[in-house]
Amino acid sequence: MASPSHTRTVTLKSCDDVEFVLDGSVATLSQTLVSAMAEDSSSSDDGTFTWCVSNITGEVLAKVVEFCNKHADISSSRGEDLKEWDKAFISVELDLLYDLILAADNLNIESLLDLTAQRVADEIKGKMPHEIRMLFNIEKDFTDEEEREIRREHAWAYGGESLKSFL
Amino acid sequence: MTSSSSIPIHDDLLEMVLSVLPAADFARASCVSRSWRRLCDRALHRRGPRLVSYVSVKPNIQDAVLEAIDGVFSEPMRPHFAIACVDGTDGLEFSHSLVRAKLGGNVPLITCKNLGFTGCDPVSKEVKEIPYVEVGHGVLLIVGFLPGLNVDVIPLLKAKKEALRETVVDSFINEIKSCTGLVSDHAFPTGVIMFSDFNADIRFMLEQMDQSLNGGTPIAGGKTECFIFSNGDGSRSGGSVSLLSLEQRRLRNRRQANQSDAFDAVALVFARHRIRPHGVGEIHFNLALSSGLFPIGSMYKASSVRVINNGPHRCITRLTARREGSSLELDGERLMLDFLNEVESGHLNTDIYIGVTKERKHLTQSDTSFAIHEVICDDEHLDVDGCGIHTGDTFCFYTPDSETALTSRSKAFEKLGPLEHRGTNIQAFGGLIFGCCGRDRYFLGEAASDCMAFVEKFPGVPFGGMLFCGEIARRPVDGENPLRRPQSLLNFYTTVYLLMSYAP
Repeated sequence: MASPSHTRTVTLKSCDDVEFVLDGSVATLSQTLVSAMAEDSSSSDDGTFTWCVSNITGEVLAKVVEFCNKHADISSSRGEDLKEWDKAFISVELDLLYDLILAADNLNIESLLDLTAQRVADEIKGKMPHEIRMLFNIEKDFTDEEEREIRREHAWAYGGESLKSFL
Repeated sequence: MTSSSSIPIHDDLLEMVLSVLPAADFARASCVSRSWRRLCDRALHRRGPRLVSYVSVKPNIQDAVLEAIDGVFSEPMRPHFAIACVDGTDGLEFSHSLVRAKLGGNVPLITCKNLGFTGCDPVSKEVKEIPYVEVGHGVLLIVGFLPGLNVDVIPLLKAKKEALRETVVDSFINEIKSCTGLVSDHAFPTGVIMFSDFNADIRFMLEQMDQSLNGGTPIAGGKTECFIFSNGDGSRSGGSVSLLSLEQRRLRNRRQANQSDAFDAVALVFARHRIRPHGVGEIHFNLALSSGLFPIGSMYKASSVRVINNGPHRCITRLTARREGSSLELDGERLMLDFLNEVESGHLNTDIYIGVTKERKHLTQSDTSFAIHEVICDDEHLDVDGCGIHTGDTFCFYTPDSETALTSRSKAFEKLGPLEHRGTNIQAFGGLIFGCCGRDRYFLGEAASDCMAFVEKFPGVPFGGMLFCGEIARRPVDGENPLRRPQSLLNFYTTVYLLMSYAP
């Protein structure tokens, strides 16, 4: 059995056969890898471990590895600096963002999940329902009457306009 | 696996995204589509009921209120009711309108000015007490999301004539019962929070409520300097007597003094919905109090009782009495001398109260009630605030005592404490603390001591504390022992803890 501490390196293989070699300590950020390594008994001899991620492309996996390397590096994980780094890291197109959140979920990397979820939330913030529908290409499946009812129920969330006129 | 939306992430991930949205964005997101709405509901119910409180002090009241609103709405939340406390009268109406504009008008809201408030500093997480000031610039905003409960605002009209007092109290209580009956299978509310006008004599109303509502309904609140309220559907709003007279004074020159009704008190009535949505647990209001008054000296029997009116609003009763077992009638001066002989010299400058036991015979039965009255002037006469005392009622003097306060506070926490043992999943999710401005750093040794004790006992549980001079408390009877000692409903030097708990 290879526990993460005994494993010196982990090789991650994307669905399009791109390989990434991670330090064992970096791989512990992923709960999926931690449990996989704990269950694995075959590759303990030379301290390497290979894991294929069937639904993540090399391009996305490269970003994930970049994130893990940064976050596992204790010397660089100081509060404000890391926040700035995260902010720059996550400034990506929506498509890549979706791939990242799915990869974070798949590999169960909590800090990357939080970061990506927050970034998707930031896209939603400040938008009206029809703008959110447009952004994510969602079809409105409420009847007009239902929508009026729901809006009435949540009237306070549309208070921005009345507030502006109030001030 | 994938949701019906074209966001290519599955429902659990989308729910996670929605859960980090601020309240207003969250509410708008739930209007996007059926599946988003379902996920928002699921996220909210997973989080359970919420009580959020935010204290903000800024150079001007507008910034303080706006910051507090952003603060309470920084997480997913559907406001079911809101209480705003301001520290200056001038900011009261403004703050009320501003919070109301932001809430959109269909959320029950009470804004009041009392004698200070307490909350957690949003940054340092330390307990922060904002004292009473003349020109205010601070606000405490409390917002609750209580799935499974209906919240209504019911005001108590000020009786224009003394003869109408019973009628207005009756209709107030009937309204509380009918708004409960409308939504609930229970005849009585789960809990009542109420604020009254400083000058209103609310003992009669409280006694009537105590008799009319069954033993299970806890009531907590206090006497505010003034208050404004708006109910959920925007059909009713109003303010306290003091506020109205203030307004009238302001408007007198402009000949606009409005003739609208003034209110003596206002109640937030929480009633359990008849049909509880699937997956929603049960909310309980747990009440415990710490009394800081200690009886001193002999028992007396009131012999002459005269109600004297002092000013347009305040009702005052003048008493003479006999010491129990003696036939000698003592006037106010002698009674006070008697009292002063009993107290230790250290207590000479203290506030004085009397605790009156009232026995009233009705047609078929007699019942006993107990009330605390504040001694108003203590030179020639024994005058106490309020009325309802009869000849033959027995009373004794009470003074504030910090040791009594601390002992009864420990007992109160013991009573609230075994929450986690009552059921495996029962959690406290919020606390409201109705305190007395007299229980300050000189009395209890440190500022905001009662709130800090709460934080120590229930770490991480959001709370809002308000300071009064006159605290309202009705302890519910416990199931095993339906007979109880009469309790004072209006208290002094008391801290009332209302702990909200949830069983999923």
